[in-house]
Amino acid sequence: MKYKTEIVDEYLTEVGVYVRDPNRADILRELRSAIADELDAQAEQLGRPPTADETAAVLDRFGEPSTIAARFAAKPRSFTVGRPLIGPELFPLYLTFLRWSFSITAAVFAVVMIRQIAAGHDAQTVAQRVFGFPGVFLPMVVQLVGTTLAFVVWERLVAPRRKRWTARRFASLPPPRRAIAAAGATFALLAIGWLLLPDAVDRIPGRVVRLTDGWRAFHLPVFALLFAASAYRIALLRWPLLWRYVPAIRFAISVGALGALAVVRLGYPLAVAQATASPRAQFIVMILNAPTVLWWLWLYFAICAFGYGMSLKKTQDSDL
Amino acid sequence: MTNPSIENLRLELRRGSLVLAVLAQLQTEQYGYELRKSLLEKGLDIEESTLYPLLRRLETQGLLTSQWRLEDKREKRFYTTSEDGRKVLERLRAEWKTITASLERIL
Repeated sequence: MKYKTEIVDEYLTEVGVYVRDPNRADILRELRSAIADELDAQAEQLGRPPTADETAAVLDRFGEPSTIAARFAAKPRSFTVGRPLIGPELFPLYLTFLRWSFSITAAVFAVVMIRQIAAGHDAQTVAQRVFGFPGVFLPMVVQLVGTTLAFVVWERLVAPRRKRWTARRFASLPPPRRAIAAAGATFALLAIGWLLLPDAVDRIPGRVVRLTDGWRAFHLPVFALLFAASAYRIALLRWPLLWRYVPAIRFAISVGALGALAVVRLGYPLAVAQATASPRAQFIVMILNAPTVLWWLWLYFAICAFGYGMSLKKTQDSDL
Repeated sequence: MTNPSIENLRLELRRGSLVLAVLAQLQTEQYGYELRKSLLEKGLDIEESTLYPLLRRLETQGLLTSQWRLEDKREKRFYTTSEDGRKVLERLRAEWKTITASLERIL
């Protein structure tokens, strides 16, 4: 049985996730005050403090977190072509997704550009390749169209069918988060499977490919991190209250990953192929040793560490 | 006609009148919960999820002013209709009377 303050805290944390208003802290402060008034009135009426269920019923009246957040938006925005295709509840999430997606693409292209120039390619040619069509524009257009279509489908098909929200459902994650957690856990498990591949290759009779000590040094920390990444998502599905600790967990995992990748870099090459190795074995070795993969991972975890670090700071700043 | 359509029409009908009710009620300073209760006593039930965003919107439009104060050992946000809000209220009140008189004749 949860105490009312805990449920209220969870509710406000959830609302805070969706509020994209400069006055976010003030909005949450007012909501907290209003909820406390309602609960006090109910306690007075009942002659005792409201139970967890009664508290949840009060929160239900305040509405689903994403809905009330959308109503508080200074100018509720939506993607409209004749009629709203992505409504005000999903629109902030759509924008956030696009922002991250574009930022990562731009950052990857920037890194590739710098590396090519550093490797002695002509700067003007590299710039023309990146900024000329298709260059950086094609992946961005694909992302824009793909993301928009995905959100339109979500708005039309998924959103109307979801069950009515109730604060009691803090016993389970809201559907988008459940999907994100499940997808993340699956991805981490698949990555663990992929990492087992070189071990399998190492055991191929004839042993034309040999894993170096660098690979073994890289193995353990990355396995540990992927396991942590998968385990916490599975734990989230079981204990949704852990969601509030996600920024801290992700920050720790990202910083750990940056450290692990540094170990990987020191261990290069990770695998060597004998001259007699088949083209397929040579290819696997090339993939394992590809520094570009490492750069992508570095970039990804650096962005994650920065993003989650900032969101940790924001949580502390607006701690109510 | 489906139920959601009827619900949308009902909400549309209520939306304008809620602004009028809030502006009128807040000629006397009140905090959110107090306002909701006083409107309820007069027969107008506004859900919390509608009232608080509405108060913020009206304040942003300059029709309400607000201030945080301690009452009963807790911080509360007190709202009152601003000078502009009172002018708007007068105009809306006149409009409301015209519309209701017309509708009475039509319905």
